[in-house]
Amino acid sequence: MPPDDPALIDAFRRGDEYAFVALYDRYKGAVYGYCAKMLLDRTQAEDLLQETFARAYEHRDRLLNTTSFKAWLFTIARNQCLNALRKRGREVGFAPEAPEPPSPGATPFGNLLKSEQADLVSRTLDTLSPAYREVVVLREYQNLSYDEIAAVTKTTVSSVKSRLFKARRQIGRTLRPWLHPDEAPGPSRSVPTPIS
Amino acid sequence: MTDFATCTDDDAEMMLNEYVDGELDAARQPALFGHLAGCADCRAQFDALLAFRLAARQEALLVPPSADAALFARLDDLRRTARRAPDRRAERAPLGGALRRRVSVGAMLAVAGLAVVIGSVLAPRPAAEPQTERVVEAVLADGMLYLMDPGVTVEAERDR
Repeated sequence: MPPDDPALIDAFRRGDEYAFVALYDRYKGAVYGYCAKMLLDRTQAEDLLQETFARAYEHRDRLLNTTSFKAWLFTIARNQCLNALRKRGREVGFAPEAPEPPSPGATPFGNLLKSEQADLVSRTLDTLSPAYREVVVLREYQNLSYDEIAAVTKTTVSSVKSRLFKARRQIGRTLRPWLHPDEAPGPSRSVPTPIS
Repeated sequence: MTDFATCTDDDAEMMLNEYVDGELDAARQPALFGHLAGCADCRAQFDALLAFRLAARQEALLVPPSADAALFARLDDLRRTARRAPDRRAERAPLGGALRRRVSVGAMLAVAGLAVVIGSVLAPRPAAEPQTERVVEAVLADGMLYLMDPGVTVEAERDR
């Protein structure tokens, strides 16, 4: 049976290189996925994966608590990604092109090829600012809880919920025309039932 | 951007988000589903969020094999650099470098601090000023006389 995380993390802190390699194998996919979706560039994500684990290796003495390893790792990756985005000049003020809405009669989202769906999802992510994109990536791709996202992004749970709320509203605006391309957008078609 | 109708009930939308994340407690779920039954806009938003999630989780994000080799090469460099670093310092400052190789900064500071303390203890103190004898005359009516100042001589007669 493979050793559990706390045992590996404890060994890693004591300088056990085998433990470090085991942790790398366990978390490299998550960190790579996070970087790839934050940067929307797999080549750069590979570089930042390397940078993240190299920094974790160098600064293992700063890891105080074995239970927060995953959050610590994502925090390092996050800092790398935000720096890379800053360098790229994609900070606030830069508005990437949103995907064009489909023409009536176009293939609905569900009938698109998987690669086309993934491309549309990436372009949707690209419309989000880094602050919104990171909560979506951590939630949707990494399946982190609100608490874990708050720890990684150094904010509160209520701020995480608020950012997710706004980011998803934006995602909905982009994807909904693709779900039902035949439905013409227009004024409100429904009267919402107030929640008691 | 296509301008779809949007539900103005933010509470419902927040509940929808929490439900999608598995964070909406069971007691509030009937209120959410009651709202969804009458709100096409929130149903469409629900569909969009589920479609996004499905596409996101089906996307293969495999780490390229080259990443492993690159990291381990980088770690080898780090180890080599860590081993070479003290030698480079030693070359720049022969005496200081030699000391640094053997003694950490903390230990050097501790030794310096100890030397200061020992020096202050062993340093010759300024000679005490010669004491001039002070004589106090007193008459003791009764009881004891407590002498508090060693420089004072008391000559007293007991009053009988």
